Amino acid sequence: MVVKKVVSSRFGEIEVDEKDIIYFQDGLPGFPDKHEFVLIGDEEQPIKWLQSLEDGSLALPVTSPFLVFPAYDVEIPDEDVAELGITSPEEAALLVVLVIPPGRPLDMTANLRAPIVVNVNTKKAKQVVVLNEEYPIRYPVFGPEAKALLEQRASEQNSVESKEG
Amino acid sequence: MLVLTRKINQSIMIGDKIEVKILDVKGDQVKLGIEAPKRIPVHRKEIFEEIMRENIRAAEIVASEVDKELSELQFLLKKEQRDKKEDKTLKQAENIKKLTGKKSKKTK
Repeated sequence: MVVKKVVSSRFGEIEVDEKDIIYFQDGLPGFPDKHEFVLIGDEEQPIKWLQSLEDGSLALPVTSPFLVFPAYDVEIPDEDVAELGITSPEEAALLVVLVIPPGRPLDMTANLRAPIVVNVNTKKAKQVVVLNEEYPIRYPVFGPEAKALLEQRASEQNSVESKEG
Repeated sequence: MLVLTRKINQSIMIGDKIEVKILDVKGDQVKLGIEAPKRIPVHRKEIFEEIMRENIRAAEIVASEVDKELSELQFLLKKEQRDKKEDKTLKQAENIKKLTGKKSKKTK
């Protein structure tokens, strides 16, 4: 097993097995010279981090598009599918990049128009622009229901704390 | 850069499969019709710039203190995960699990 060590801002020093490295031949839009990433996160937690191995301070929050939008059904250009060597839908893992506005986490958006497609066998990856023009770049992850739920949870926690105090 | 002058309804060919036609010119706006095989994606340049900006905004979050906020978001998404037990969602969750660097150690 070949291990690569990286000091990341978010996770401290991490050791990555070379076979877990997700490789972006063309980098990511905005970060064209970053090719090697690793997906870090708790198995239980839906939000994970795409951590750069070339820049410890670079990590993008990502999640499954199907969590954000269950009816997600994308058409990926043939050229991209061929480039990644994907021959069946089961071979592809999709991730969407999340933008979490500072101080307003509930206004989090997901980029449904440009998912990251990873070949699960070879770990080759690319952020592709899907042919579905109706999918927005900034899709709001939470609706009013989720916001209400979170407020309720926050007030419950506050009342517990005030009882304890 | 190759520079060509065209009139309305004239077109240019890129290779033998892609046709770009000038449909209309009004003031400073040019309307283009593009015919290309489906395997070739055609997008406005703006969409790439927008995706670039979104990625950069997404990466900025790392620098700020958001761990508490994140745990709330995790809670919400997890709830949605439980509510949506569709086949495709589960299969994808499985695939993402496969990708997650198992051997990566956290040392804080």
